[in-house]
Amino acid sequence: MPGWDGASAVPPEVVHSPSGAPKLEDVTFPADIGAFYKREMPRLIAFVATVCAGLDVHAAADVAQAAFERALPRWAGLRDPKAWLYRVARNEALARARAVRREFPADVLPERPGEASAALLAEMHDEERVVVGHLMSLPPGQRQVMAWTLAGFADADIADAMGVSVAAVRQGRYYARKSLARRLGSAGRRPR
Amino acid sequence: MTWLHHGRGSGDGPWLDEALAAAWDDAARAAATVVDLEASLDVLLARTRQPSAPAGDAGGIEPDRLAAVLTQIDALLAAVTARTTPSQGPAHSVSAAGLFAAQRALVQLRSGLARRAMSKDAAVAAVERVRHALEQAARSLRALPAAPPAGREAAETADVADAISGWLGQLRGLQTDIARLFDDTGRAAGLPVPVR
Repeated sequence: MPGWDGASAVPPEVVHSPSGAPKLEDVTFPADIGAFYKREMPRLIAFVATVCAGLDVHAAADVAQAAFERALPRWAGLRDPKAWLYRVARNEALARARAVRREFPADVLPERPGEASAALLAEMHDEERVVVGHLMSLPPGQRQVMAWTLAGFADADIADAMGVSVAAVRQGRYYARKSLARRLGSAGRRPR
Repeated sequence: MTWLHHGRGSGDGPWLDEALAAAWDDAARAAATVVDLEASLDVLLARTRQPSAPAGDAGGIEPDRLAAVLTQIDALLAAVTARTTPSQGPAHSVSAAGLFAAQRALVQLRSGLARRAMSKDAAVAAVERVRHALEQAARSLRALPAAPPAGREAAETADVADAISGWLGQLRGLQTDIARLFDDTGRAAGLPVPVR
């Protein structure tokens, strides 16, 4: 049984059955899938909402659920189910964002800097909301690196998922952290 | 102690890690409040146990989704066909070849999907043929000699060009919907159950 630990450096890969698709009779759910789902689903929603600014939390939840649905039948063949799940979710989220941009002209749906879902922010505590707000305002590449990092993935996995070098991941995180430290430092100096 | 009271301004030290970790946990907690996790898990497990079709197989397409796509194709087909009526002005004449080609590809697409006899690759290729034909028609219009701006011919050219532009926009949405018909389960994903 594959482990749940997403920090594994093993690249995610689907091991198909000989026919290329998992057979229904082969589908066996891990005994602790319920616990994994309840722990990971909210984190996956937060990840999707962070990676793909502009998706509200409900759309992010749809994406996360769809990713689970795709992952579950082939779970036993996945070397790193968590990594596979997150990659599927990220790809689906970006595809949805592209579809939205195609369906609406640019003047109707202007390119906006990262914006956290209002519904998500409304449920958050004040200080954490400020941090997420700054996280969302990072440039997309840096924001993605931070989202993968916060989700617990190793640099090699992040580089693989984003299609960039490990050095680019580290550089992106360096600048993201620098920017966040500066912004949060400024916020912290403000009188309360 | 929170990040507001840490060694702010002293670089991105441990306080930043703490702030980010706390924010991530809080975002996950907030996300959990908008989804009924128990009910969503039940939906997920129930749907995963349903039989599914192999990837790219039209046999597993959900009827409602297919019907919605066919409705879009029908609307597009009707609009294109209305512009292929003979004996209209020069704009219609020069764009006719492209419009007929688009019409033919749309008919093939509709027929293949309706009979569930079309693979994802074939459907995508048919949509590409429609797009190519419409773009060819648009290019033909642009190649027309300029007519007096206030004249009937200029108005007709603008009218056909606008129609083609609109169809190309619709085609992008249609392409997305067709691709989604053929996801690897052949079914729409079960939606998570909202809390409220």
